[in-house]
Amino acid sequence: MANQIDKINTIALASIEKVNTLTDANIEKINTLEFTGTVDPNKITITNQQFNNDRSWGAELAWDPDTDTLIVMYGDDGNGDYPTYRLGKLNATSGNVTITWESEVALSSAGAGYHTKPVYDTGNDRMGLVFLESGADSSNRYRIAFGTITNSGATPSMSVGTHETIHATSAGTYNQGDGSDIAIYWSDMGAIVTALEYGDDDSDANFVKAFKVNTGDNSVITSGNNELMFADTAQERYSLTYDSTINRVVIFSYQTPSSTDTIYGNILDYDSGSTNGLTLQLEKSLPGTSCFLGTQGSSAGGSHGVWAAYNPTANIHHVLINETSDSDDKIRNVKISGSDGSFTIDPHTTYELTIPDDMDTYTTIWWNNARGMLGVAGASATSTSGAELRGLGYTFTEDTGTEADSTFTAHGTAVVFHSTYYGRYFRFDNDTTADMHTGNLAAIMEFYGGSGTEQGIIVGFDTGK
Amino acid sequence: MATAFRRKSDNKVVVLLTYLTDINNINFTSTNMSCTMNNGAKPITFQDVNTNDFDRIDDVTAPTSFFGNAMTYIDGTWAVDNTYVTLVNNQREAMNIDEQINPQV
Repeated sequence: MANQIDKINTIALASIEKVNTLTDANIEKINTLEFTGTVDPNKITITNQQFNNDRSWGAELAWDPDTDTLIVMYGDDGNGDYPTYRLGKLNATSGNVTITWESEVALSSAGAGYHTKPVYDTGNDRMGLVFLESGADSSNRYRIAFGTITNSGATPSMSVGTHETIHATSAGTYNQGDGSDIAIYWSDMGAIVTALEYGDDDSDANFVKAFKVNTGDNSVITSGNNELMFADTAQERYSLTYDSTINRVVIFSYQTPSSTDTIYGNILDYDSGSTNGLTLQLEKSLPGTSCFLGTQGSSAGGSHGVWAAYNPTANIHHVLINETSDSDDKIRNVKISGSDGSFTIDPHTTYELTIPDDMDTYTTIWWNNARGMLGVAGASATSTSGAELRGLGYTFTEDTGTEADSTFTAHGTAVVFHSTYYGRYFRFDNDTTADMHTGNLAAIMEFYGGSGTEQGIIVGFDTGK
Repeated sequence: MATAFRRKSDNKVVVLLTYLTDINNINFTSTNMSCTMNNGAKPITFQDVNTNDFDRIDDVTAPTSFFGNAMTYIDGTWAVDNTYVTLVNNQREAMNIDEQINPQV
């Protein structure tokens, strides 16, 4: 949308705070003329931000756009660390927000849920629930289930089908994700793809597997799904993106061939003619396409979370790494082109965005679809009394003629949106539907030592535009 | 005294309610179990705790330190499942959680 207005009643736009009580971000047209204002980056103040009054491990959130319902999942320290979820409603889609929560629901009492991820299946209108059951059956297993959220008046509830073990193992075996990005919805395939390290593999390699929902009873369809190795490494550090230009899931993984820290890229395919269309394939043979020398960037501070995001505006993948050559946390880009069977994964190495020092610990990145910006958030350092989190949005402009002239442009200056973060796991919702909020929300655990409060809370940051 | 919910298949206690307020607010059915915890402060539903797979045991003497799913309760005697404790603590370490669970009879 291009701005067609310079002045209102002879007053320059920069001198006008509101028009008929509306800030410029909330005005699209004036007398049929298109109007684009600017919005500074800002903290979203959340009333009822607490979703659990106990320590909350591996917290993650997702959004159901069909019922406008927020879901947060976590391991509940106040209740056996069991994988637990809670549904909530937001009272606004921009600015400050009040959340109205439903009661907590423990999904399982079979094991501890230190790692969770809800993923919405937009094709079948189901919430996919992926969670760890540590200790269950004397093993370390992950499970998947599907649920239907319904609204009774303004009160949401979820009917959950039978859970399925993602990869069954024998006693004493550990399947692990350790805070990596363990699931993503693939709309073209109509399935949720999980990514885990399998402890019974000879080298503890990483595998993907796809699951669909039986909409009749919300059970998990498994017949036909294969277990496909994507990284033959005992590391379990990977991040998943959905490339909406080629309609494929892309995996970035940390591997160490010949003891060299390397970030690899690969692209998933599926066989639509296989049983239930669930068989996964790799576009690139192992270990994938070598992209950058380094480790995943969000390791700084001992944190885990998401470190890659797809930018549909520029058709580019932003990848947060810690580069070996200078030990800096930075975002480098990967461009994917071509078509089925002949894709090219092109790592851009002639430009970069170095993460500012005040955000290079516990760092995560995400795509803010409503604003068309890349979000970056993190802390300056770990802290014994909780870390201060700040966020900043960037616009990326690609120079397709001269790659090195591509630029990241910060929108304003970083904003502190939380002051006492515990660390360990950090991810903002990757808003692709833009109907939840113009900003983005994250579920985090509060620092709880000393006078800190034992709780899980929702925090919010809007990159502005 | 406490109320325990014990899994029939392995005698593991998954929920232990110690407040009278919580014990008086239990809805235990063939589908699930809803109750309050923390003296009424935490209403919660357990989706897999039901009358088919679990027993409700009232008037239980609580152990020194309870952790859900890490202890059995058989004929009035508590015991720690050390295999479960080790698995959980190893996973806590892998997730950079700097505290270990330590259930005590």
